[in-house]
Amino acid sequence: MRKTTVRLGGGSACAEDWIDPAVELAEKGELDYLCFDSLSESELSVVALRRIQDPTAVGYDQFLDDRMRRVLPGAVRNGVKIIGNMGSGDPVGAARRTLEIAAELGITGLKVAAAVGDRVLDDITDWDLVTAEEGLPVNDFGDRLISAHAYVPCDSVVDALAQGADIVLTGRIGDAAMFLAPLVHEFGWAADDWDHRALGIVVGHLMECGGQLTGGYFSDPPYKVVPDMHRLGFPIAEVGADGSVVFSKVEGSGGLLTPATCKEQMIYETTDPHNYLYPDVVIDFSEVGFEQVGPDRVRMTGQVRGRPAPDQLKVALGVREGYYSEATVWYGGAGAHARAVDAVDMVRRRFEHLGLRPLRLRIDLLGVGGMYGDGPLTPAAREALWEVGLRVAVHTRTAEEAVVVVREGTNRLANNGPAGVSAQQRGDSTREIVGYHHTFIPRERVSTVHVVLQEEMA
Amino acid sequence: MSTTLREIAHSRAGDKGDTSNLSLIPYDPDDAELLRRVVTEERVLAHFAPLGTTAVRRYELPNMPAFNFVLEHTLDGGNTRSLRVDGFGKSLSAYLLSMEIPDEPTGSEPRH
Repeated sequence: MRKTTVRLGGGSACAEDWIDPAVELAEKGELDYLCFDSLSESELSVVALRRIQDPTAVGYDQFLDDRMRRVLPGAVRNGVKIIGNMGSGDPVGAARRTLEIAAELGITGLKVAAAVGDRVLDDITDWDLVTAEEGLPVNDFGDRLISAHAYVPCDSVVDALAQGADIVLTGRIGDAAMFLAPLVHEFGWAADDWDHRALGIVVGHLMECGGQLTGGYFSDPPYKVVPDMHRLGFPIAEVGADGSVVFSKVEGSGGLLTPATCKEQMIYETTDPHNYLYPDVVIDFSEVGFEQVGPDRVRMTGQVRGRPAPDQLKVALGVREGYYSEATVWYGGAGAHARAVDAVDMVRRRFEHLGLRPLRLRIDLLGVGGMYGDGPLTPAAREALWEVGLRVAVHTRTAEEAVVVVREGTNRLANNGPAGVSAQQRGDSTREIVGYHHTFIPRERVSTVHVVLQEEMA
Repeated sequence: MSTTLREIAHSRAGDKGDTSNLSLIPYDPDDAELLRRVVTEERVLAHFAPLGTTAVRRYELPNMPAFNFVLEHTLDGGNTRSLRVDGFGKSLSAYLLSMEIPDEPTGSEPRH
């Protein structure tokens, strides 16, 4: 007997997101499915680099243990299925680890599926691809290319759910496709039911950033005021078989859910609303609207249209490109700006004096023009500034160069630069840059499957 | 006394690679017409010159109503490479809302 309504929960916007709102959803959200987005655009590159530097490091999301430990009890008790891309670079390992955690918690009988096939690094050089933004040949990257993952559609997750999986962990997948999959599974939408698939992706896009629908990334007092941000309730979507969609959150939770919060999230990270490309479908959401139908309760209005899925799948690439480092020191009190300007002049001459030539260098005066370039402050206003930061950020070929440039530009000001400088913060922010590129491959070159793991029967 | 966009609209910044997208949503739907008239692709391109933006496209969503501005080459190579304090460009929504608009009667009060 098919459901007439499916209740989805948005459990996280990223790997390091809060876990307490997801626990609240599992306990009180009366959900059918709780979906977690744990992968940023570059996360899989970070994982690849980590495993190069330490082959014993796990390839799945480092927050999986904490998240599963805290969410599983409530989810299992309330019959809530879990879908998440926290499988990251090792979905099978993630599934295995989840079963171990379940066993430690005394939870038995779980079916955990791993969806694999998004990793395409091994044969990506077979096809003479070029990067989409700059047209660079992918084959020219050589062994600097350390990560290549296709954004795959919902199919392998749907298959896993059809096989009875309670939890499905994936690698790179269209983020919103994690929310489409349970809708396809429960409502039986056909593979070419493009309008429904488009609706499911739109729901997923609104839900995939957790608190960003419910008052997070929103307040701008006095124009926009959000109560109790410290305990935001993450979002719930009620999707009807008739295509109705209503958003809500757990009663009594903090935050705000209004047409305004929904509009901001709808447009977030999109370009042309008539041609929103997803691995599953091409969406036209240009006519979408939102209507308040109760306190923190919003109904989606307007027609969402879908067109056949693209022939090509987007592939995210990670390329080693050198090193990054930065530091900031502060000048305060009378004459802060004058001393900071004096320091910048000294730092530039020092770099020249030593023959330092980073690939890219940036020196900011924070509080003056560090965020957008020269701001509206008059010269008199600048001279009156109470605090000015001097920030140096650099891109170099080697880690050693990055450390030297930042030390010369900030730390050495303590003894040898203008008066009254704060110490450089402790710790070193030098890290390797794995630059993001993307390309496209024909979808038939990517095949995804799911692997079901179950606990060993004693 | 001039008005800034912040007094009549809100915005959220998103990023994809080196591209920033900025929504622009009037608090009062009746202000969509004013925004359509004065917040043109050319004005946004000029406003974002310090960020290195090379091209701006504006899309409209009439049922909200809202606009989406897509700004290319605006994120110093994208968050994986940017040397800026704000590598994702999440503060660029505030920069857009800082844009002054010509003083004309809108019939709108600042939203609270």
